Amino acid sequence: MTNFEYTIKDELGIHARPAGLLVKAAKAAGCKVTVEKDGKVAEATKVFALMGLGVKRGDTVKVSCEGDNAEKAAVQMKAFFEANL
Amino acid sequence: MFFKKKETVQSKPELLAVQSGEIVDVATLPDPVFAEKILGDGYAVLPTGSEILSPVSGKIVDVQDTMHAYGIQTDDGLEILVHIGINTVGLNGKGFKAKVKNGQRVTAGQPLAVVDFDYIKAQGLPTYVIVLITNIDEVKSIKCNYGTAAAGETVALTYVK
Repeated sequence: MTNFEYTIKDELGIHARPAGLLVKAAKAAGCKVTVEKDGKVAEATKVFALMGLGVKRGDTVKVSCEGDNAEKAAVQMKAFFEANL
Repeated sequence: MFFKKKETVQSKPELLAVQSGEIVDVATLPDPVFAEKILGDGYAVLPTGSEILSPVSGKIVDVQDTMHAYGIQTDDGLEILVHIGINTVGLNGKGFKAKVKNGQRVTAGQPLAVVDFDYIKAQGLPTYVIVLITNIDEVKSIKCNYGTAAAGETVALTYVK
């Protein structure tokens, strides 16, 4: 498993649009991706789970990738967070 | 026993119109996140009134602080997102009044929110109310009934699980 922490810079946090884009990116990653905030873990392929985390600007989330492509996926997910959140 | 009532209410495989107005294809919406179905598939309505109704019976699992989006989990396991307007997250709740709380049960046709669409229009934002099945992989097929709909009465979409 590979993981990284990321502090949200987007003014609006993880609302519907970035949640949708994140689901798309996570599905493309080819392994299990989760996002954790304050001990609450959401599967990154589930829109409701992501929106339910209530992630706002300034919050730090832990993104974990687990599976065959974990390292490559973590690089992709990090790039996604930097570009979108 | 033929006439014994069931204890649990089975959810019908349908989504009601959340407002009166024209039901349109999400693929025609002026936002790729909706048009390309990145958040899921469903229908959109151009609302003529201010009260947004629940399209399904179920449990409210998400009310965004900005009150422009509502998540409802149906008893048959679908996750329905009701997203009011496009880019309305930036209004930070102004123009929206939530009628439900997180964790509460709702029945199809029950009000979720009251919205000042004139205010949204004045901000230059589209007023479409978008109703999506976000876990669309759970569904075999959907069928939308495009055209004029009556809030809480017209079946805007039917699905097969």
